[in-house]
Amino acid sequence: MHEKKETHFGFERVAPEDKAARVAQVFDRVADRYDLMNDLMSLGLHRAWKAFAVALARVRPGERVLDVASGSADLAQALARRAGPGGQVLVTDINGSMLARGRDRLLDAGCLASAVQCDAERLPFPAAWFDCVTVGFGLRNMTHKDAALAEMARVLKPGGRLLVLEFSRVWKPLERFYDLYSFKLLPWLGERVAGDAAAYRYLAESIRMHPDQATLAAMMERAGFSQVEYFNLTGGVVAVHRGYRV
Amino acid sequence: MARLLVGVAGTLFGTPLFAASAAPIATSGGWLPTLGSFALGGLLGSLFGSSGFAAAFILTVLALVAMVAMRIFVKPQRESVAPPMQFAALGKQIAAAAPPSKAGEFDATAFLHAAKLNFVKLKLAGELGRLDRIRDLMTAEIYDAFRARHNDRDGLRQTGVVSLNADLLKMVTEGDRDLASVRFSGMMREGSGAAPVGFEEIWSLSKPVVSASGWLLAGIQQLH
Repeated sequence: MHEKKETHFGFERVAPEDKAARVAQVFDRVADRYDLMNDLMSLGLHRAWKAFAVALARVRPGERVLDVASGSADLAQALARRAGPGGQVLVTDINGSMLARGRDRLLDAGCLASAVQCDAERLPFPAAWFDCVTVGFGLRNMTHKDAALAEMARVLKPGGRLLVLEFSRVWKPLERFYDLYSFKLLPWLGERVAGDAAAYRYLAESIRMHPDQATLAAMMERAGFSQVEYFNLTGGVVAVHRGYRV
Repeated sequence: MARLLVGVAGTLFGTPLFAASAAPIATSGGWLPTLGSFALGGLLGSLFGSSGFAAAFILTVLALVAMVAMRIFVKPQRESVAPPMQFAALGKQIAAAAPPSKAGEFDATAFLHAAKLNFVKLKLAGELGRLDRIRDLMTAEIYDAFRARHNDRDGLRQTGVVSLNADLLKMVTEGDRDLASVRFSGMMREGSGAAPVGFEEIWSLSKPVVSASGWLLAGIQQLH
């Protein structure tokens, strides 16, 4: 990794200071059709993946939960239901249009959650503040993943847990088909539905550049998490990592 | 196109259940794709298939995907003929039929957002028994009525809002007060574990015309 000088934006190399803006452009372009595309791209399976991550989070009533890079707030909604009226859920996103969308969707679902627009690498919360932190399909887009994970560790109470739901390394026999799907069908679908093939090409590329299961687990350990374990879903298309802050 | 998607689905994430659900769609264009998705679906299903819950979930998901896919790939043809009334079934007719008389003067979207926020706050405060948190959202009379009703109840009732819509019905000035009616509708769960039921209620909100104070809840009419 040459993260000091350059970072990746899909298969492209860009200056670290440019990555956030490039990612923002992608999300600004696709925000309107984001949910629909999620359903189409994953054939609806993203709902199952999110439900699995929420189940692993084991949020109890009254807990304080942070959902980083919340996007359209699917995870946050399920977490808020589990935290109950006495609990507290905060959602963050670096992208204003996605965050506003997530905030509105939460309210439409009768959930009360505070929305904070911020960079996951610099979370504006005190240390040891949350019982649980989740990040669903967001870590991949962060420029400095180590810094972001360290921030998540900082805001967690001792004993608190981090759940990372992210695309991962697919099971080897499925690789060829998965490549065909993500580099051919996905951009085509993006073009047709969201009117933007490039954004979905970025998605496919960024998935390939994201650390695999074991690497991410090691990164979490370096960031201060213990008992890190991961669960492969749909043959490793996505994985849920869970770690506890000690 | 739906067939292509179905075929892809059968190959990547297929389960026997999935293949079975895909069959009715695929048959319209021939039996080969059906057979293909069934075979691959079954094969991979045996690899990835797990609990009955997962199978049921996937079945639900697939029904949804089929619906979404149909909507997407059928829509462009319809659009050129007549602009669809996409939200007609979602309870927006009232807002569309009776445009608020003063809507042009203020941000209706922000107003309804704030109204929804207060609606959820009020329900949550009721659940928690923390009526003090909503004291400044309403007039003194309404607050007293709320407190009396709350005290009458044995224990706390768990009411969870599952979905919430808000429409601005009217916005008028009467004397020295601005009055607004907001219709809330959606689904609510009465008691944990209960099935959500539909609700509809109209909130009357008022605020002095010349004042810095905000909108206060001045009445609630429960329709059902």
